Amino acid sequence: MSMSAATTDPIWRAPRLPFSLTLALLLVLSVFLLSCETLGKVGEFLDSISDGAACTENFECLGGRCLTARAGYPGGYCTTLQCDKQGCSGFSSECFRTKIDNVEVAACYEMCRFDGSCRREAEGYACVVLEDVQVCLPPNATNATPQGAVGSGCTNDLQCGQGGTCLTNLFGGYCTRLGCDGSASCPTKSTCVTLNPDAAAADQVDGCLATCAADGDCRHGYACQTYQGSKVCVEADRVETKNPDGVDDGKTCVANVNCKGNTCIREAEGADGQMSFPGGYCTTRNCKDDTDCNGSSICISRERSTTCMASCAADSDCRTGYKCRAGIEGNKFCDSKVEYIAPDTTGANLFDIKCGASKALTFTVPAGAIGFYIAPFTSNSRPIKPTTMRLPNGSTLNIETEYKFHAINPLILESLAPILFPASNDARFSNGFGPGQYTLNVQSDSSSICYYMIPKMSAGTKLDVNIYLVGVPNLTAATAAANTNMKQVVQVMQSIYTSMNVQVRVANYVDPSKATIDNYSMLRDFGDIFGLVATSEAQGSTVDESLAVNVFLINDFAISEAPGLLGVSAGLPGMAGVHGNSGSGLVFSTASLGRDNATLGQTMAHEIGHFLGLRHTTEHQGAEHDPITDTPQCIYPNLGYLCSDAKNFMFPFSLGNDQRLTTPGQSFVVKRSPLVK
Amino acid sequence: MKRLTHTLAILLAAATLTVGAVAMAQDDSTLDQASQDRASSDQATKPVHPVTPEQLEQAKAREKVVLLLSGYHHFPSRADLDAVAEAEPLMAVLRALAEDEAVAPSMRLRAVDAMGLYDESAATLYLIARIAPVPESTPSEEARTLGLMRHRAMIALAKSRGVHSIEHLAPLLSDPDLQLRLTAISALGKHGGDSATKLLRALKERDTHHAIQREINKYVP
Repeated sequence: MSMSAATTDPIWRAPRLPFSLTLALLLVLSVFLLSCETLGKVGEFLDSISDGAACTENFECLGGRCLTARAGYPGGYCTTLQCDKQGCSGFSSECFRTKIDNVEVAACYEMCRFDGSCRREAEGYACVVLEDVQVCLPPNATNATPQGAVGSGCTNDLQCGQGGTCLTNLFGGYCTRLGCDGSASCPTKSTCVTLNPDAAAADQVDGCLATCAADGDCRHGYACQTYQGSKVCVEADRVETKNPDGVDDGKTCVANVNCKGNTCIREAEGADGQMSFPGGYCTTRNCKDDTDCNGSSICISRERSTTCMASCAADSDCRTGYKCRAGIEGNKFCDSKVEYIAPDTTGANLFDIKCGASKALTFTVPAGAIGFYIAPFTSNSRPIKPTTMRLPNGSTLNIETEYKFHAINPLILESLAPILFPASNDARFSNGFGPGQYTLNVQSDSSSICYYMIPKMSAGTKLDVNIYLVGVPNLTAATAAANTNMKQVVQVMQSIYTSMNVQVRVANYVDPSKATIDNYSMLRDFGDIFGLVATSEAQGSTVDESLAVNVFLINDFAISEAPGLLGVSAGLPGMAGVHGNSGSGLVFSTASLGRDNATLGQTMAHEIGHFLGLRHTTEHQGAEHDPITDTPQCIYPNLGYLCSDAKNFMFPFSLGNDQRLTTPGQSFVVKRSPLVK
Repeated sequence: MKRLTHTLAILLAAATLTVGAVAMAQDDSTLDQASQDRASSDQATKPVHPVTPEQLEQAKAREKVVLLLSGYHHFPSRADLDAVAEAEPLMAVLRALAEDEAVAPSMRLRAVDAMGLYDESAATLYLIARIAPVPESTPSEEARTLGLMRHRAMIALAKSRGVHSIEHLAPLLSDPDLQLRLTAISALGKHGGDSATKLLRALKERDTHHAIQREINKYVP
């Protein structure tokens, strides 16, 4: 990759900063640190000297090199040379082997923001894809593909530009334009194809794919193949080694270019000063099995994906700072002793989670509230059980007896025990959980109890659902919204909730990683159910976006201990607002999709009802009923349709596709869930 | 008010069952009479197929089985099914449900699950047949249901036959379909005993797919 530049510009000075200049820089930095009051100002300062920042002289750059305007970098561009040996300055840039002024160098370029934008866009810097990494460069500096172009890698739709969609089900993501109509409607260097030709005509979705002449025109992991009469870049059958001259997985590194697998987990210092992955750690991401790895490394599941890690038998087989531990596959690998704390995707930071040793959890429900939701849990998977709650008026509610209809979570989730107040329209409860100070007592042998509370200020009317497509045949995030069967399922579910004055919206369709699909498209035990649900992520950074129900659609269940499973709610109620745990979603088989969409829609409505806090109108033995005053009951539900509650959507038997009745009492409860906004 | 509703419901249920039983009995005799009448009528008529008592019994059993298999969170036990009919006619009902393309796929799959409650040879033979590959000529929608049925049959067979299911499930440990391999591991790991554990231990050495390793690790640490 060559870069245009002037040939005689005196940008080529000594590769390292003279000691005096380094000291000067550090002195400036320390003086600044002494005088600045907020970390924000420190951050701003670091941004102004890191790779990609504007500059006129080398000493202005933390990396020691300024690519000036005469070299083709308007306003100058800080970089770090020889980064293949010393790494880049910070985590917002990446190292590349490239040419600057026809000289082979290793230089750092600033990576683009999460949404594919660049902080210096006003100066003409744009996000381009350089060796599968999104970096900010001036327009004439490279012939790299602009980020967002059809075929470029991505992790979200924002990175694909206006009107673009990121096909996250493809290797490394793939930007496309959906709904194209003939190749003339696609951007240059792309053509319009049907993404799902095997689907029924009404369900087919067209999208633009990048055109090519040979494999070399496609990014790493893709091959140039004839598809529907055009030569386009599609996923290769096998991903070749990216950097054959690099070192094996598990070896030290400072940059991706050092590694055969093209990924360097860089050492990172935590807030406590401890270093995770000291010396760096080469790896290969998205491996399928050990043959995708190199050296003596093995393919393991990690953070919703797979990665290659060096195998070991004992700690002595690992480098200093690493230990030999077993993963979920049971195989041992060398892992950093200090855990790397990945950016939080659970949404937990949005809620005021308190943790401590006390088993008496106190909280204040604000004035004007009509109820609240409280979620006590242990972070070490120890069981927890709410027992009693002291109310503002001084009385005590015995949860295990007086509120037992919401005391089921300890049996299901064990270490998570959310409860909704009120979960009944009965006069004893309906107005009994307003403002004031409460104390919830819990039973647990854990030394640390955590909890968060979400007050309910008014009855909600909107419910957002995120639908994850886990190996459902012929259905991906790109095609689901337009799919006839999916639309019918969603419509039935929506109609049931509309009758309770709650509008359901599918906020997101999500394609999980290939590793998640491999592991969980069929669920074979309860551990799998909770493991799948724990892959959920907050689909945004606001409280509103976090308050959404996660629905996982799988191929089918094959659980020996639970034959006949149609769907399951992880919790009654489930965990609201905080994702990535074993109580943060629901799972449904799609065995009937396309043949009995109405029943699937009803099943989803039924299980979501549990997740929001509803019980069956009658339990299958007939001995218990829900705590709602206006739902019919049946003494012997095995009578099926003879039961007066047989057509209610919360009846315990799925009798047909006409079980859609709801009651005002059920609406009362549902609208008090924090998930109904 | 709720208690009154309960009482009325009981009375209504009892009345309905009584009326229904009487009606069915009347239907039997009416049908028989009608069939006789038709038999004695003139020619150019279609052949008459009277409903036999056995068929009527099977229809009633089927209705009851469908209800039992309809629970969102409850699955019938062997005792629940025995209360409906004896093993042989009940297995026939389950088989008919599983084979009936007009029945919803979820119900058909549950019928296969229920076969796993029977260790009688008829059930075993049926489950073994359901584990076989789906013919390539099968239309895609039916092929999907039959494909899912393979998984349910594998689990059901392992549950009912334990170590005796190994000979039928072991070949699937090397099937090219990842999900079939995973279900075979799960079925054998849970129900195949020590003999199955040995097979899984050997598989752990040769199949390094991350999902396979994860599943095997549940049974062979």
